[in-house]
Amino acid sequence: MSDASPTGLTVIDDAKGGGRTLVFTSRLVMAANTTLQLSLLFAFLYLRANNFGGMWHPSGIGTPPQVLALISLAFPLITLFALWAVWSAVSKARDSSVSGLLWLALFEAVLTGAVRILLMYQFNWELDSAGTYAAISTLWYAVLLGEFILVGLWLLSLVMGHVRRTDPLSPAHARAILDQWAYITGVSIVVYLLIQYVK
Amino acid sequence: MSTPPTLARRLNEWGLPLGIVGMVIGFLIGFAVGTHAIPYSFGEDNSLGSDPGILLGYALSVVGFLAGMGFLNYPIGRLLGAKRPSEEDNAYIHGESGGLSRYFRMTTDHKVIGLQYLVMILAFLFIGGLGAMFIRTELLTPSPTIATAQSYLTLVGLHSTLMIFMASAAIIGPFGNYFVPIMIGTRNMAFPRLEALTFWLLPPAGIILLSTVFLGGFTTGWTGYAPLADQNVLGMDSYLIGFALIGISIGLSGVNMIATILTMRAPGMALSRMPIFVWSVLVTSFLGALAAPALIAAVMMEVFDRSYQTTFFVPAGGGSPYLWENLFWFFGHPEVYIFVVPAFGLIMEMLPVFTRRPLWGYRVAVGGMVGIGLLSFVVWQHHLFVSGLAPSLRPFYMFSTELISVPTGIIYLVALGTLWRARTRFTTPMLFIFGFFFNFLIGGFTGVFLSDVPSDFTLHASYFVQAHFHYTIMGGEVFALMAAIVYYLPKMTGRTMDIRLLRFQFWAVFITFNGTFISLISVGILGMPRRVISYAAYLQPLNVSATVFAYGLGLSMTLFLGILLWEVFIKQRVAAANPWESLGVEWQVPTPVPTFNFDRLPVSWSLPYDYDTGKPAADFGPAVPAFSGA
Repeated sequence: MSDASPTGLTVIDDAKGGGRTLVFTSRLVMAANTTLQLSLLFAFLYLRANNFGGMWHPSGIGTPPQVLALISLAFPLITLFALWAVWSAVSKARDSSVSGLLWLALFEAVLTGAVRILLMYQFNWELDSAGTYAAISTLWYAVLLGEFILVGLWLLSLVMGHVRRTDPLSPAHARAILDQWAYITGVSIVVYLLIQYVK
Repeated sequence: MSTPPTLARRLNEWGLPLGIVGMVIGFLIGFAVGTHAIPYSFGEDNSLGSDPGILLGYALSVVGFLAGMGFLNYPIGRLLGAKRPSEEDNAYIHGESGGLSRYFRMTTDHKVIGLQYLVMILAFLFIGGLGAMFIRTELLTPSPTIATAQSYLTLVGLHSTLMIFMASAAIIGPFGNYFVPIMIGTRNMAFPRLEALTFWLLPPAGIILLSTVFLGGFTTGWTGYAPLADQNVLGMDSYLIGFALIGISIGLSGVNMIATILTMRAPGMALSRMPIFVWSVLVTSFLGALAAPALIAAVMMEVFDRSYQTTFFVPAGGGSPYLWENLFWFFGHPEVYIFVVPAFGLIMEMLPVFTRRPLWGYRVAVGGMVGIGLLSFVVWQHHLFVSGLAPSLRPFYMFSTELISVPTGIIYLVALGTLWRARTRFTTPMLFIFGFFFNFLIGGFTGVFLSDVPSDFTLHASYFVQAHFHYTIMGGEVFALMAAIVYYLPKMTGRTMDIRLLRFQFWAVFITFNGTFISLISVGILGMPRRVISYAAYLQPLNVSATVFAYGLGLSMTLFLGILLWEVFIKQRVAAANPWESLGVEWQVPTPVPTFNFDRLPVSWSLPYDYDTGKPAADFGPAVPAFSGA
């Protein structure tokens, strides 16, 4: 074994992970979230496949309102596009367009939350007798709503820091929130397809 | 020039009392809203009962606690676009000048958090142990004497859930948080506030869990099986919220640890040079981050069943209790390795120090732990062998479960290889290490019978299972915990423990532990089911034997706590800086460890096990010699 440091470094100040740590952690959170989503998917498929007592989707129990469900997907997709544009602008140091795009993303994120709350109000299921399709649909939509709200709050903090110039948006932050929003939007689309068409 | 403390800092100084006040206020608000507003929105003929009030009360009590502790200051500041905290604020939150008070408030120093964890773990070990003493006292006679069936089941559930709660953080909480950043050569965790949050979620979890006694308790044991969980009284809500908080804490802690280990290592600290304990924490953290969400999903379903009358686990409504069993054990079995893998890591970290030899088969040991981690995700259905699992699935789960003994065996081989022809120092931690290997061997052997379908049909839900579990967790993890406390106390507190008393305590705990659980293996083989207050008269002698040994075990564990408290707070004997002459990075930094660990970051150049030559594993610059206190 050599006595010399293999790194060849002599002056080391810090090993702060910085942006790399943030982006990496964002993906770790997505991995953990995947277990949560797969657990809900397992419950969906398990209860549907077994249809215990014919109570998976009893007659008279409808599906979530189609139009509102589609609108609830359109807004996060617009947000996603705006966040992608934010990330692109921050990465290329085109600062002039960042604030406007951030506001657009935040506005669409707020609409996403509002429409999804409205959608859940339209379910109109008596949960104690509506069967397990209604139960898992309600829970899954509630989980996704919670996740949209959490990422939306994170987005709000980034917008406020950027527009008040207390904490200008970094490429790592833009990338991390883009990843999170893209993930939840993707899951929402899959959940929509499952609940509307694999009933 | 220092500025006067801000209002936030003054409030933070009162963190714990304010947290408790916030908890009470949060509960009252949540209870009021959940009891009145939510049922109102369901119409007058709703049948929601009191569960929404209790559940919302508990949820808001946690929010209130965290708000009182000051956890919401930073995120609210960010939401308002306020400036980031100043260097002075960060130093204060880090506990740089806090003295004793920093242990009772939110701090971001990983070493303070490690000690906070240690105190909490020992407190819950003690409370859970008291529960065990009550259980054994009740089982002195075949018929109920001091408890009713309902209160006995609540006692069993509380004991087991508290101990699971304790065990899930017993190694990573104190030692992972304290030593991993030092071992990998960084000044702090990747997300220090998140690290503090993972700790401060646990005291409310414990309080909520214990509050079940005021709500009628819960009769499901720690596994919370449906449909009993759906039918239980309000005490079940305590279990659900308490366990969910533990799951959230495990998951967040896992994410933080992985991020720290994989992105913040010091220069030269390649993965192949990481101390074996850090590897064990990394593997465990992946288990926690990836398994805990399954528990959270299951708990959410149960909360929906109990509060909104959904039917996830109610067969009449289209649900199935097997759904709970599957989701619970998808978390529950990796959870067992969340207990044990860091214990393996600690043991292998200490072995080279006391054998004065390099760790034999380092890469094999890493492979073994990774193998355990991977396999732990594909074995959960062996818990369902007798619950109606499709017969065609049994061989796969029997095979995968038995396969897990291979990587576990590798850990034993590594230990044997390290011990082979070594000049072993039979120090007190080393005694506990030998105790660990003996106990875990019995735990492993008994586990093979439970992974085997025919024998599992005979032994399932008997005391054999209970004894097997205690051999692995108490005989394994808790012995490793005691070894680690004795080993690391000089570094964590600057104090040392009475070796003679500890040797006596080791033999006392070792003999009484084995006496207790060999008796319980025997009653299990003879057919005594677990979680019942009555048993056949012919099993009484073995139960009396188990109880007498259990009293001895309780006393010897209390003795350990007594020695620890006596040495740290009363006798206060100053320990040498490196009493075990370890080459580990953590022993080369001064005691007490500086606030940000290092004056300059170390440059790692080898594994810290080169006892053949005695060369340290990292370059700290000229100021810090190896073996400085030996």
